[in-house]
Amino acid sequence: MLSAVNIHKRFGRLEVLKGVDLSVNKGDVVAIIGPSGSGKSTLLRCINLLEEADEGSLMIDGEYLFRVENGKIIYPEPAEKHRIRKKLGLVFQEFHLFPHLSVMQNLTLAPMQDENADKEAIEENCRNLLKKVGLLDKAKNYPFELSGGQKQRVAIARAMALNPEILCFDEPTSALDPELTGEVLRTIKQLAEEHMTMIVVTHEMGFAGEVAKEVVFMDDGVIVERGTPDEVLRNPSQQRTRDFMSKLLSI
Amino acid sequence: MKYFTDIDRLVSLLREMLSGTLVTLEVWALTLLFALPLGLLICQMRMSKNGFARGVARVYIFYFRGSPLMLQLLFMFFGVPIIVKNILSLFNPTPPAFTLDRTFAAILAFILNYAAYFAEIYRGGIQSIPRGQYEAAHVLGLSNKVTFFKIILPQVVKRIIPPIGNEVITLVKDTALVYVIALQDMLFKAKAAVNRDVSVMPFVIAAIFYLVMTGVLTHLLERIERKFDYYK
Repeated sequence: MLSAVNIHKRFGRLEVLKGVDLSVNKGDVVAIIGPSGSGKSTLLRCINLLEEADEGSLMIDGEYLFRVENGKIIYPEPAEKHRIRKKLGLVFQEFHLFPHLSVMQNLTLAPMQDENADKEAIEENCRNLLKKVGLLDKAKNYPFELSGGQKQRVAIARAMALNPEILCFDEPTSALDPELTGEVLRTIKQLAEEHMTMIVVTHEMGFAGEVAKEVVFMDDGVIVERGTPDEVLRNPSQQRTRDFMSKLLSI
Repeated sequence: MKYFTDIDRLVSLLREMLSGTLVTLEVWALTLLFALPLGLLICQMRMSKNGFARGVARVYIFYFRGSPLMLQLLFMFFGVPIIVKNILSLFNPTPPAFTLDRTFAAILAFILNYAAYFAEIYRGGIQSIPRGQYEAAHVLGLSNKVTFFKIILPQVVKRIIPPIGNEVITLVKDTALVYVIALQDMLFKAKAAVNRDVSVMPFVIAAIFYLVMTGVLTHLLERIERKFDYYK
């Protein structure tokens, strides 16, 4: 479904990603964990083209979204790039809802841009999505009227409104008060139960252990260890993973 | 006190001052009409990737924001014709007379000056929109055009209404500067009447006129701001 190979990313002289491979099968949930600054978010941003990788390639569904040749990033032609890119959705840590648009408009804006869009079908679909995240009654509200957890659920519904094949989450609960993380994690879990393919960068180890098929531990720009939640979270084989886990537990 | 006892005199004073008010309003309205879009163009240049365009915009803003508006008025009306004449004389030893219409010179100077301020207000507004808004638009596959017109611009408009409103009101009062090139605006007429009639009344009326104009604008601006109150 998704296969990223040898992704490198430098910011000036700082190499944030030092050759990362990631592959995700259809219907799987992959959790990426690791300390701050380990490159997890940068990896997600490279996959979503918010940053340009300096080396490597990314294939979605057997098609290249980009590959780097001789230090130059190569994309398919714009229309193709756009089509392949739309298979990816991204949910941000800080939600980034559009404050001037109602909840419903936040969802419908992007799908409506398609010139062949069936307006009513889109609205119907978006209503269903809002229902699914439990916020249909907030359809006419504006983002400032919602709690953090509600905002993030709207952001998830907004990403889903484009029917992505892979949904990425960049620390979806890190900007939330502790009592609000549950509702967002439940929404993501619900998507997992429906076999949505997802890549989740998270600090919620319990959640990762419960929902992820595979857990990837990153540190210092490389993937240190990957495996089932049992392997990585409970019986890590690498010292660095063990150190990270014991730090979490000792708090 | 003679204005209170002699109604004809009061009426003729008011009529005189109203004709000055028309000049004031003309300068005000035409300045806004042209400076608001010109500011957008300069803002675009100021934020352009092209270093030359950026440089030109910086120098423009530096000059028009950094020197007195009164100097710019004087320069436009008295200085520009001299420069034009000197240039013409390079090609023609007896150049034709060249002067600028007072009203035209005044309005042109105001437009150029205010456009510099508007450009910086627009730039501030655009740069105040968080990066996350662009990133969200990007991952939703929105084109640059849709991102600008449907996501960025509406939020910029809300943010720049207060500073633009400030300029719009300041401009009402700044128009009084046109007296330096002897354009007969409202204050000019008031001053003439004060000198002629040895009464302070025309100044009082001028103050009232200005307050009415700025009061109406304040009210309008508040209403426009309220229109954008539906979100934060």
